[in-house]
Amino acid sequence: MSVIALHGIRGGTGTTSVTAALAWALSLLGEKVLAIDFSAANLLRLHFAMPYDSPRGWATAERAGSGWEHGAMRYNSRLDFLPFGQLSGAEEGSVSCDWQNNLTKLRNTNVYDWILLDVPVGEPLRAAQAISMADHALILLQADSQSHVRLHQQPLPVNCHYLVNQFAPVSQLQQDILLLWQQTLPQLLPFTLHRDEAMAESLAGKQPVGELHPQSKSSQDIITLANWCLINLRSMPK
Amino acid sequence: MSRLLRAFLVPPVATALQSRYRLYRQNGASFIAACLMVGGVALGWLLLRFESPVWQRVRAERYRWYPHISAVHPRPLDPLRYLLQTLWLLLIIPAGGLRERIVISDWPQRLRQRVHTWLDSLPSRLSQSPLEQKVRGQMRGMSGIARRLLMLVGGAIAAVLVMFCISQPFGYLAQFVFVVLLWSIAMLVRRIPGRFPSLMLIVLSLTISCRYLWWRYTSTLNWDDPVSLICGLLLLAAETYSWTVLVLGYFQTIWPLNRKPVPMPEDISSWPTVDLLVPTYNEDLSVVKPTLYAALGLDWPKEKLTIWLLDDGNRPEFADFAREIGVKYIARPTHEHAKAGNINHALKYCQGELVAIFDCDHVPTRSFLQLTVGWFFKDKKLGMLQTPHHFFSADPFERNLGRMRRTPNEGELFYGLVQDGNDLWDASFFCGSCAVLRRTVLDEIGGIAVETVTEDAHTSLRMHRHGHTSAYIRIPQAAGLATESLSAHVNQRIRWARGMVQIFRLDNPLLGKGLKLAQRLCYANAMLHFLAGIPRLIFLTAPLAFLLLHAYIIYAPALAIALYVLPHMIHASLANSRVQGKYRHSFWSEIYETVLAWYIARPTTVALFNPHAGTFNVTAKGGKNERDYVDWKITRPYQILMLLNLAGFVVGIWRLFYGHADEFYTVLISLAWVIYNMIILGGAIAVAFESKQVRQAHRVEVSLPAALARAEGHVYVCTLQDFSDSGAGIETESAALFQPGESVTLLLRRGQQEYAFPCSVSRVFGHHVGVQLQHMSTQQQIDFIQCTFARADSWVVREDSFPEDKPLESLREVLGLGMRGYLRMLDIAPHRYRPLVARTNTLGSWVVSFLPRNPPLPVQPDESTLMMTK
Repeated sequence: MSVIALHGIRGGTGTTSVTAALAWALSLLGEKVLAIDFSAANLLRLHFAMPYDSPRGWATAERAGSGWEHGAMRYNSRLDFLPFGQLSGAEEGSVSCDWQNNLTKLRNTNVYDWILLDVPVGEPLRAAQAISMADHALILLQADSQSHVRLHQQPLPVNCHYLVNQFAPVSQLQQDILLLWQQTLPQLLPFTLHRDEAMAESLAGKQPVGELHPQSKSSQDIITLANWCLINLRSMPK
Repeated sequence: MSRLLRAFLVPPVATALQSRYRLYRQNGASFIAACLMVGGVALGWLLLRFESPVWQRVRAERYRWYPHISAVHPRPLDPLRYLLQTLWLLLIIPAGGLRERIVISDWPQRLRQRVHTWLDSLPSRLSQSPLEQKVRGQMRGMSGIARRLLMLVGGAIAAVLVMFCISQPFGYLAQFVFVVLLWSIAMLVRRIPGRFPSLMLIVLSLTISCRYLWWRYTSTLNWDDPVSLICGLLLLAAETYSWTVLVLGYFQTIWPLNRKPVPMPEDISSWPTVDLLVPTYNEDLSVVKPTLYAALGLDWPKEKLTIWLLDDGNRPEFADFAREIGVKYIARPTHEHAKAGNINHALKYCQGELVAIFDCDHVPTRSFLQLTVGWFFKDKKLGMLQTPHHFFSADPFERNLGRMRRTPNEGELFYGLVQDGNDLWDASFFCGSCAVLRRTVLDEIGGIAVETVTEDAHTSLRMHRHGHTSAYIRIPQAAGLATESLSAHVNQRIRWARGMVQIFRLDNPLLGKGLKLAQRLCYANAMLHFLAGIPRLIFLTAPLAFLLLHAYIIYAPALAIALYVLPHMIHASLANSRVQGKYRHSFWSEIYETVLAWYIARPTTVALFNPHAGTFNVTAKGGKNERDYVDWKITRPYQILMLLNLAGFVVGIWRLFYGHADEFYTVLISLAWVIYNMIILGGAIAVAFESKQVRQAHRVEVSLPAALARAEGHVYVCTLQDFSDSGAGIETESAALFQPGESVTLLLRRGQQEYAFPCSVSRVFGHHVGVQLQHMSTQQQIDFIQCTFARADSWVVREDSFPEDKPLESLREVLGLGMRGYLRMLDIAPHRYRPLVARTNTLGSWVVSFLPRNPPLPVQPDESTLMMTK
């Protein structure tokens, strides 16, 4: 079982959509996947057609005392997801959950091949905790000047991989920055995720992009990402 | 009638027969046909027991077994057709179907399969056996003198055996046995993969052909009759010519070198400076643009590459374009010596260590220099390295005969095999484009040679004389346009033929110093190849000498002719199929040579006697055939030849019936030859039916992943199926979402980079979308060429994708081509001849209706495909 933490270098890089899409693509390839939302904004579940009003989630369940696992939802036979849950601001601060322990329990059950953690940008403590628990970290960036600056001044996890999202080949600036990163950023993934309306529509359509627009370039890019994960990030069972 | 029937037959039968008769008559059959058919059916029921299970099965699938015979509209001779088809089915039908019931066991097939597998395993067995090691050990153990003595003795014994084989006169039976033995060896050996079986086949072919020629020289000339003597000597000269070309051809292609590229040194600062010259004269700017864009994108340090556009037409738009994209432009004041003079003039300004020359329509790939310059480091004496001229458009043969990608085209033989074979003997010569030359060597020989019209071959001949070497890498690294029409093609060949013969006269490779023997022979063969005009014409008219003039050109009985000529042709065909089969299918040389024969006959003869006569003419490139037309002018000589042959045929038929009785078989052989000639001429004429070329820009077929982005933001996955320099054809599942006229962006990858090109959709049909490129900046143009034409593997993939050569199959195709040529001529015959033509057509189809057809069986692997799938 591999645990991958997906994190944006800044807000709005499309991490949540990519997490949902990657979970779907991996499930299409025959893997058992669990996607966990660590962000209090609770947006991951909306990619899986969960009703907006439903308060179910791991934090809600933990607060109610029934245990974090009761917040889980099943999307299809190979894909489960764990929403954060709906909590008010005060309640949110008081939730404490030993995720290291939880993940160990999940590993021992041997049910899942992949666990994807959608790590929020605005909550640095929880983010650091999530990344430290994961086997691999995938940092999403856009090929723009802001991301380039942040790469040099932001504390970033060691041994993480970088993935360019929202790539528009028409933009000369994006091409140049990508070329620069291909030469200077060793852990950059050898492919990009393109800017495609299909990805934007996946949240609006409440489905992962591979299911909503299977013929789109985004879908193909995500399948490439899933295959790359299978080849490079799969850890052997102990 | 009905009363007669009822008198002899039971009422139900009589009624059945009557209704059948009425059905036939209703469907338009004649009285005789209907009666015959009814009679035949009745007899069949009576004698053949149509009600038995076997016959019922046949009757159930009647349409499958007898597809060409109508059930409801019988014709008078239908019983004969039924009989022929039944015989055919019983004898020929492949395994499965009817035959299973008749065959007792398949042990012949199994035995043959075992033999084939054993033959296939021979090479691996030989290489594994210790025999080779032992022999090598022994040889090394001997001293130098002993080894040389052994070789000499072995050579002497072989020479004696050869002399016996060639010159020993045989009686008919002995010759027959000899020929059958050699043929069996050839048929066995040709199944074994590897190089040595090719050598074996060559040796067999040489034995038979030398024997044949010896026999012709010693026993087939008629010294009594002057007409026969002259005709016989002419034919003998032509046969000697083709024997010489055959032998030299074997020598030239016996062991293709298959040179591999050498990697460049690690240190980029040691890489040489290169001048890339693109000479142009009267071509359109749109033809030259892709070449220059591709040159700008070559993988070579920018400061070490200078691109020169050499414009002999002094056109301002070329100068503007060169300035716009940043290449150097040279227009010289005088225009002597055409392309050679153009290049020599430009060399005065070039400073680089290497010179790369490209014709204006040959688009280089990005890896051209990196693949070729490595050899200049490895071999210090290397003067010139040549790469193949690949064509991405169809040449006139492919286009007019519809053979694109089904048979190798005309240039494949030269660039795939002959130059590679030349490379072994260090005799590959410069072909005018897609080559790199060393500047110091060029200066040493005084620039590109200007004395002849094929300046390229002459230049490399001079280089070889000065002791420099040449190289050939058979990976296509550039592609260009083939000649547009048959007349342009013929003009180009006339120029080459004249040039080569001029070099033969002015700078004969067989004489003069500086060349090795092998180089002399290779150059001589290249030049002799172009003298094939007159011999080919002699072959086309030889049988007429006998049929029309009654001159004994081959003074020998028919049986002897068959015993000597047939093996000679069969072995040459077998050996050539083995050696050349991948590059030229058997018997296609006949068509190519016949089309050119008349036209190169005169220029080469003139050049042979007076090398300085004649004018230079440039090959036209980039024109467009607006509509289908027939190039009658080009084929006029062949029509005349065809009519002569037709006359000979008619006279031959007359001679069959009214000539001397003892000449019967000779006349038959001559008639067979005449028919063969006529079919080849038909094929040559078929090439003149120019088919319409639909687009101005030639499309290259490919299969690359791409993406199409619509303006509103959705991006769709697609496959690039074909491209040209101004548009592309794309296949995508989401084609229905695109509207003609819409602006889209085409995304193509090259390596790690992705490029976006603005396009507009020109049409949508099914899953296909056709797009036209919109206005792009220079950098975008360069990028597009880089993503399409100039990809390093653009032309490599298509190299070995032709179906394998099957000689009999090929012969059938060529014969079919000839027939089709005649049919097309009949189609466009003038009105006067229409009735005759119509009647000939009817007669032809009536005869053809008797031919048995193969029933459409489910896909069975027949024997020939079993053999090929090893």
